[in-house]
Amino acid sequence: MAAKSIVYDLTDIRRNFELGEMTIKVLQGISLKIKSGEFVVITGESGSGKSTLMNLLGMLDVASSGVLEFDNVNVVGLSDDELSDIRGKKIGFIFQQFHLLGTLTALENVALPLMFQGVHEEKRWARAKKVLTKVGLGDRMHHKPNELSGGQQQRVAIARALVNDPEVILADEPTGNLDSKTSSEVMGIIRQLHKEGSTIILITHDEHLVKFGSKHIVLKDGRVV
Amino acid sequence: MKLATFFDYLSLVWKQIVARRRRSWLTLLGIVIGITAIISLMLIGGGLENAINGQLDSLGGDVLFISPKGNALTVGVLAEGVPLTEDDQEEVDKVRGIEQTAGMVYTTARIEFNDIVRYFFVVGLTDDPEARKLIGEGNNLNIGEGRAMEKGDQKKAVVGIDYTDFNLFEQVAEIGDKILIQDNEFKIVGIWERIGSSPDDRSIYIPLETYFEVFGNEGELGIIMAEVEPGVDVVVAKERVEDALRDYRGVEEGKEDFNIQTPEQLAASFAAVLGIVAAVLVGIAAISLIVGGIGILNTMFTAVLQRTREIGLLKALGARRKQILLLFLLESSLYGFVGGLIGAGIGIGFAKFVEWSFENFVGPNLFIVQVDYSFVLIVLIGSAIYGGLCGFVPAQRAAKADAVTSLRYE
Repeated sequence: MAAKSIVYDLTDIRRNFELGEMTIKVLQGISLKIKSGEFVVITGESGSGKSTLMNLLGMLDVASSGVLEFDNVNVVGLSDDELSDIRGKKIGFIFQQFHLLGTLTALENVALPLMFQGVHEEKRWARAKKVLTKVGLGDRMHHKPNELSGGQQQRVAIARALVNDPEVILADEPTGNLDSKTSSEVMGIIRQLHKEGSTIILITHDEHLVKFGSKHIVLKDGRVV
Repeated sequence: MKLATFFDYLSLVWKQIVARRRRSWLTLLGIVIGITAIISLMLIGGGLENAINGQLDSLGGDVLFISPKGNALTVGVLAEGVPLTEDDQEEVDKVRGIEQTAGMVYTTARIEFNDIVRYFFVVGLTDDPEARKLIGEGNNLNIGEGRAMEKGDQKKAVVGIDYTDFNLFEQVAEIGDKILIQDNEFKIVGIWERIGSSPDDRSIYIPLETYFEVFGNEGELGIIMAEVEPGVDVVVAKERVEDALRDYRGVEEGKEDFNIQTPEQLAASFAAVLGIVAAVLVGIAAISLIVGGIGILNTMFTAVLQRTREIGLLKALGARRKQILLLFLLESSLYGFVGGLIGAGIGIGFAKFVEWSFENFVGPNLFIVQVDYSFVLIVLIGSAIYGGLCGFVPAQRAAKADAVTSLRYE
């Protein structure tokens, strides 16, 4: 991955939602570029469309119109399974609610994305152990989520986002459910990842996090301000 | 898909099922009952068939069983119809192709021994050794202790082997003991070897003449056995006996007040009874399986709904539609498989219990359960496939779920 290559290239991206007879235009022509290695913070008030943008960047959703190139491929119009493949191989998600499976241990949760990629078992465990150790949970690998604190759970989720060695990490309000102390712990890990070269997109309404980013995008009424 | 991957999915799904133990048990119940019914039906049905065929084989194929109408199996306790008599027996004896005949009658009676009163069968048996041999062959009667009935015996009894069991009258009966039948004193002169069915082994056998003295109804027989001469076709002999009895009793063809059965026909009527039992069990199995299937369907719909966010997460983590479909199909198949496994275990256990009961209360080597494990395996695979089919619609719903709305589902 070349240092300055363009990961995301959005041109006039629009996303409309049909609500009965009404059409709600959530994103009204977003154009932006995100380069490899950048730490982009996207902020905006609720209703500004930042979650919708996040879903499009994470390929969880498809734009109504426009061109969204990821790794120089226009992903608008790809099938559900093709988008799954891109997510599984190239994107790591960190959610506000952690979204860990309660029946699995930390290690199993982290290794889960690799299962869908058909990675061999031993390699999966080795890789999952490595990233868990990296986020400082080397001694908590066999604990289930309900045996971990909120900060630890979010670190498990970060490890899971890292396990497939993604091109980009999408963090949707990663500190939204955490107190200020664990928030700064989690942000510390995310900054460390950025320093090591990861491309990070952080979506938040917390203006205090803006200072960590190398680029700041503000959304208002579905447009980049 | 690689086998290793398959087991990865299986272990993931297994953890889900275990985590929802209580609901899982309820889901399994219908399948468990259904498979229990199927497995025990197969095993007990097979065992009974073997037992009956074994018994009928010991009868030999050349004996006709003549009984009053409507009473082929419960001989002697006739409630209606015209009874057979010793005169009928003589008539049958005269038929061409019949080697010899024997008459027998029995009823439940008040038996008193050791000051304890119980009610068992008393059988009136001929004192003609040749004729008794015919009955003996038909009923597995062999003297174990003492002697059999002899000509001129009166108020003498040969008892079943259960009378040597302390539990029957809290005293072991011995040769020479006195026993009261309907307040008439009889002397025990012999004890049969084990016959193999509980009612028979608890019966008391007395001479026909004495039987009529005690119970009245002089000359009435419960069953007449007729041995066909060697070389004569059993069916032909049966028709001749039918003709003779019709003439003698003055009934028209088609309105006979008696039944003549060959061992083959007896086997067929047993088979018919077995068939009814089997049909009932199949019905129970079918209903249970339908209920169980609906249970799985319901559980899987609930699971898909409850785990909507989880499905969204799996999609975000890169799971394809097929992979999510597979996860949920595996889960419902596992319900079918585990339900089948438990049901098969209970079914085999139940059949073995029946076998054990037969061995201890009826006789050894009569009823043997043979477990055909390849059949059990087929049932298990079928049960797993059935579970998968029942969960197919919910699984498909999960696979097609939209990632964004699923992740945000509350």
